[in-house]
Amino acid sequence: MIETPSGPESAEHTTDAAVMSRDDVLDVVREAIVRIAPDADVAGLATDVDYRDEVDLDSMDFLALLTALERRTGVNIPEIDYADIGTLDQLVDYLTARGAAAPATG
Amino acid sequence: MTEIGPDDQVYRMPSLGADMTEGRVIEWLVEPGDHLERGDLVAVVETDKSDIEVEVFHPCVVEEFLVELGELVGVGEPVARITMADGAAASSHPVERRQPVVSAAASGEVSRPAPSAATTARTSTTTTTAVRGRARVSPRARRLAGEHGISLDRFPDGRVVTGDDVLRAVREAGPDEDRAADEPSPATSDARVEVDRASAMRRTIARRMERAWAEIPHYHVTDTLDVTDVLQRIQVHNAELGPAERLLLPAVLNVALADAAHEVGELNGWWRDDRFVASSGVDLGIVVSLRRGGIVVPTIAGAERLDSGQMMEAMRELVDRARRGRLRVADAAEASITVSNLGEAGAASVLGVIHPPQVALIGLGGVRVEPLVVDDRVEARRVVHVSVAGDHRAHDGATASRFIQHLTRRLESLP
Repeated sequence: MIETPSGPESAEHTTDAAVMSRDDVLDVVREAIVRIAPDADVAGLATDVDYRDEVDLDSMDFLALLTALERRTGVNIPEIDYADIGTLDQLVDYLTARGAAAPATG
Repeated sequence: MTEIGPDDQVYRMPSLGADMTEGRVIEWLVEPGDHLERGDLVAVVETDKSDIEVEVFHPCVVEEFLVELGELVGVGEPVARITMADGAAASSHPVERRQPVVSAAASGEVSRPAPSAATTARTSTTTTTAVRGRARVSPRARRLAGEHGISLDRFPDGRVVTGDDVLRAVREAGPDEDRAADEPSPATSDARVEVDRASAMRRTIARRMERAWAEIPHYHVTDTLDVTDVLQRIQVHNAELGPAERLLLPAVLNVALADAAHEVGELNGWWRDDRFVASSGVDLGIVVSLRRGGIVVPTIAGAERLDSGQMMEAMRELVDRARRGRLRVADAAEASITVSNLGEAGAASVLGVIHPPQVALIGLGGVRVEPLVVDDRVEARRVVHVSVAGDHRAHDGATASRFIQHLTRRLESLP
């Protein structure tokens, strides 16, 4: 049987998407991390630390995070920029600066 | 999977691995009256290793559940009564059944009681009552409804609700109703169950490793793989791709080692009855460590036939299912060789313990920068330490050495 993606993540990202505020982006990022690491204290995660290390995300987890973030914000983060998204602050800034926008629903 | 012929109108507890003798249905994914297609998921079965979503291999209609949720049921015992859909009963042998699971059953580890005529006869009356008075919902529709928080009450009685109906309802409901189901599920009183599961898993690992260490005369052969150029090629490959299409080194390493295992067949198979039995294909066991501790070792069947992209896709799905604790039947197939990868940031090397009845386990350490001599000059290179844990009853160090040589050569042309 074909795996069917669940939730708004599966929605097509379209051009009439709504631009997100920095706070919205941070929420989206935290939520995406919780989905991958349900046991981690993501709410209490400082925004200036290495979250990959803190939450123990391996390379597979990290790729899953980037895939989720691309679906939720429309921003594709290439490998060459991995060094620029090491903390939550950097990641959120990166996504916000590149016009993170919620996918249109309906 | 369950043997279902024309005279066999029951769904039985499947064998999900050679060492499984019993299991519990902990969740039904269908309801009486549901029409199932081949491959539709029926139930979640709890085993010591993982929860496994089991499927049907024929079109059929679910009639009645024969066991309680949580009830311990022996492998091969009936758990639900079903009726084959028209046409399906004509073929007495299921088509394209998952080979490894069948072999576990065929090797005499599973005994299947014949269904009694009496239980079969009651079937048809149950059907009509079960279906009457409510909408008929396809399994996909039910799953989607659950995932999106859509109530099935909104559909009129008597009509068939499909997955597309539910998706339409999701769109009509708008983002709010959808989002409710999308929130990560809160921590619940399942904590107790989790603890029990963790200790059951620990015991399973303990039994298996105890047996491995007692029975298998291990030898280890190690080498250093220079992965600098492979990583460079992966980087070029990934540059223009979105995250969902990118390759990771472990997938490429697995392609190379599946190929090497296929080539050096002495490592790929099982030690049974004092002799080595070779496997025709490479069914690659992948050690997945769980975030809460413990490991599960699902299998990628036919790994020697996958290219890097296919291997990556298979690993993504497998790791996702393993971590969610919901494997599929095919994932639980008996592996012919296993790989344990400590991950990019892991320790330098691992000398593993073989999973019996297999005869080899490949250990891959983290990616390190180390001085290597290249063309008579010392250079900083990215390396991965590889080890072969071998069963000395089945083969010798020279065999493992040949395996590593083949692996190294294969890496030169990947991804």
